[in-house]
Amino acid sequence: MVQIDCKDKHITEINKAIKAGLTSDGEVVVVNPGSRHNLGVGINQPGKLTFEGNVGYFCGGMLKQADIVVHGNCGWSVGSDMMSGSIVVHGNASAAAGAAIRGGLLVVHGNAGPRTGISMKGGTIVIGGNVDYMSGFIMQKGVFIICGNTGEALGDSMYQGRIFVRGKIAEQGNDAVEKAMDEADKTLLTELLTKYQVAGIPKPEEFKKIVSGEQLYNFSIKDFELWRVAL
Amino acid sequence: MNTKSSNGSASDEENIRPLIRESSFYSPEIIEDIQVKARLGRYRIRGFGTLRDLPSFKDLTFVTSGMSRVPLEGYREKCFTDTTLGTRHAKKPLQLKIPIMITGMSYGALSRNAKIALGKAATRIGTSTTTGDGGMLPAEREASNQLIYQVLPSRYGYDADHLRMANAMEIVLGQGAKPGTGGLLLGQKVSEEIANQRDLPPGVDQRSAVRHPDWMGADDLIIKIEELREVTDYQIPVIIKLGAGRVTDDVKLAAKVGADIIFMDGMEAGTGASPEMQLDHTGIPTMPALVEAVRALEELGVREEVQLIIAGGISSGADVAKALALGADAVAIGTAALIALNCNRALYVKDYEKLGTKPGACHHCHTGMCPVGITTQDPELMKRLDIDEAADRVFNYLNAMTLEVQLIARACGKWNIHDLEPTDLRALTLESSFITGVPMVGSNKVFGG
Repeated sequence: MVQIDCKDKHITEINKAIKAGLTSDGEVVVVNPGSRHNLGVGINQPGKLTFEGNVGYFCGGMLKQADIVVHGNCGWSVGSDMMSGSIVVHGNASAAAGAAIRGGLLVVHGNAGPRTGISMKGGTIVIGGNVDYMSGFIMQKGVFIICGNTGEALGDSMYQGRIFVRGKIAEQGNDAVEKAMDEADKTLLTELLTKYQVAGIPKPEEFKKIVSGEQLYNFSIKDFELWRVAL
Repeated sequence: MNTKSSNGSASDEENIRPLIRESSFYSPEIIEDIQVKARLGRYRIRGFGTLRDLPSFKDLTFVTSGMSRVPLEGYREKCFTDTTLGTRHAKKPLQLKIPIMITGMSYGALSRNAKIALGKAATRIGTSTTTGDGGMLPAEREASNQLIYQVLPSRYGYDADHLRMANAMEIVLGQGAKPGTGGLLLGQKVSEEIANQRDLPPGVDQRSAVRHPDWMGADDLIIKIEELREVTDYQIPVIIKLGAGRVTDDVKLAAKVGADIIFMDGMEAGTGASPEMQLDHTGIPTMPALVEAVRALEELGVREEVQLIIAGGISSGADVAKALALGADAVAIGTAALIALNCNRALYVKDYEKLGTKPGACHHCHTGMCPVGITTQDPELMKRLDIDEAADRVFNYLNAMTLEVQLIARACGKWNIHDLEPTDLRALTLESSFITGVPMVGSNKVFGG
C-alpha cells in the first residue's frame, strides 16, 4: 500500500503519485486531501484508492476501473463522466454528484445536493440520504436509488432508466411517472442496499419507482401543455 | 376606406389600382409562416443557417499595394500560411498548415461518409476537423490527423480515452446558429447506431442540454479546465467555443478562466437543425463579433497570448483574409465545407423536389433526407457520397481559399498572411466603418470615430 500526503503538493504531483501507486501496489491511501479539487481524476486502471478526509470538486472524474473510497465529504460533481469502477463516499456530496456517468457505481452514504445523477447515461447511483432539486434531470439510462427525500423536478425529461425513491418526492419532473416495481427491481434494490449497507438496509417495498412517461420522445400537438414546458 | 366620386360610384383611381397588392408587413413569407405554425403548434425547425442579410465581411475591401507599398510577386515569392494555435499553456499546440479549420459537426447530424471525407481532406491539406455532439467516430480519428474533441453539455458518447487521443479539446458553451440553446437532432436521424452512441432510444427527437451538467459558472470552469488538463497531462490546448452574444464579457471570462484559444461562432453559423426563429433573431453577426472579441482580448492585455478562431458564414479566401486582417488567428468553416462536399448540388433533383425544395435553396438537413448523402443516416442516401471524391472536392476548395488569401496578402505586400492588418482594409458602408473602426472609402475617416 502506498500512502500519499497531499500537504504542500501540487495537484498534478498528487495525481501522478496516485497512478504510480496503483500501478506498483494496487492500493493507495491519500491523507490530508484538504478538500482539494480534481483528486484522482482520469484514472483508467484497477486498484483501490482511499481518501482520508474531505475532497473538493470532480473527485474521481472520468473514472475507469478503479475503486475509490472517500472517508469525508465531497465537493461538486464527484465521479462525473465515470464509465466504470466505483466510488463510495462515507459522508455527504455536493451538487451534481455522478453527473453524466455512463457506467460504474457511485454510493453516497449521506445526502447529495441538487442535480445528482443529472444526464446519467448508465451505471448506478445510490444515495443513502436526501437529494435536492433537478436530480435525475435528462436521465438517459441507469439505476438511481434515493433512500431519503427528493427536491423538486425529480427525473425531469428523463428518457430511460429507473429511479427508486424511499422518502417523499417534492415534485416529479416533467414526464417522470410512477410505475409499479417488478421482481427484478426488488432483487436489484436488495442486492445493492445490502452490499453497501445503506441507511439501515431499507426494504424494497418501501420504495417508489419513477420512469419516463415517454411522452416527450417526439413532438405531438396533442400534448401541447407538456411540450410548452419542455420544448 | 373607399374613395367615392361625386356621383357615388368608385373613382377611376380606385378602379385602376392593382387588385393584387402585397402588404409590406404581412408579406407572403409572414403569412406562410403564420399558417405553418397554425398547423404545427410549435416553432419551425430547419437546418443550414440564417437567411437574413447581415453586416458582413463583404462590406469591406482591401487597399492593396501601389506607390506607397510594394507588393509581392504572386508567382514566385513565398507567402506563409502556417498557423499555430494554443501556445498559452499547452505542451503541444496545434500546428496547422493553413488558418482554415473544419468546425465541429456531429456524427448524427452528418453521415459517416461526410465525417470521414472531411477528415481526409483536412489531413491532406494540413488542418483540423472537430467532433460534435455524439462523441468521436473512430473512423474520423483515423482519417483526421489533427482532431479536436468537443466537451459538450450533453456529454453524449463522452470518453476520457477519446479526449486523450485528441490534438485539442473544445469546451462548447454555445454555437452561433442557436446561442443559448443546446443541439437538436430530430427522430428521423436518430438511427439505431446514433442512438446507441448517445445512449438514447432510437427515433426520439433529441434535444441536447445547453448547460454543462457538472459545472455552472466561470469560477467552476476554472476547476473543470484543471480537471481536463490533469486528464490530458497538460499536453493539448483548451479551446472555449462561444456562440456570439455577450461577446466582450464572454471573451474576457473565457480568457480569464484559462482558455488557450477562444472560438467565436457568429450568427451566420450553420446547423443541422435549429428553431428557425433563433437562426434569424439571436446572436451577433460574425464580423462585429470578431471586432468585439479582439477588443476584449486587447483590453485584458492577452491579445498575444490567447488565440482567436472566428466562424460563421465564411465562404471565400476574401472572407478569411478580412477575418485575419481584423485580428483572427484562424477561421473555421462548416456549411461551406458541406457545400464543397456536394450540399445543394444539382444531383438527384427529384429528391430535392420531394422535400419541397431545389438545389441551391435546400436547408432540409433536419429531415435526414439529404439528397446528396451528407446530412443523413439513411444507408442508401449515404452511398451517394463517395468518400474519396468528396474529400478531393473539400481539399480543392480549402486549397483554393488558401490561394485566395495568399493572393490578397501578396497584393498587400505581406510575406505572411497573418501580417494582414486593419490598415489594409477600407469600409464600403458607414455601418461597417462604424463597427470595425476601419476608415470609410473616399473619406479615409472612421464613421463615428
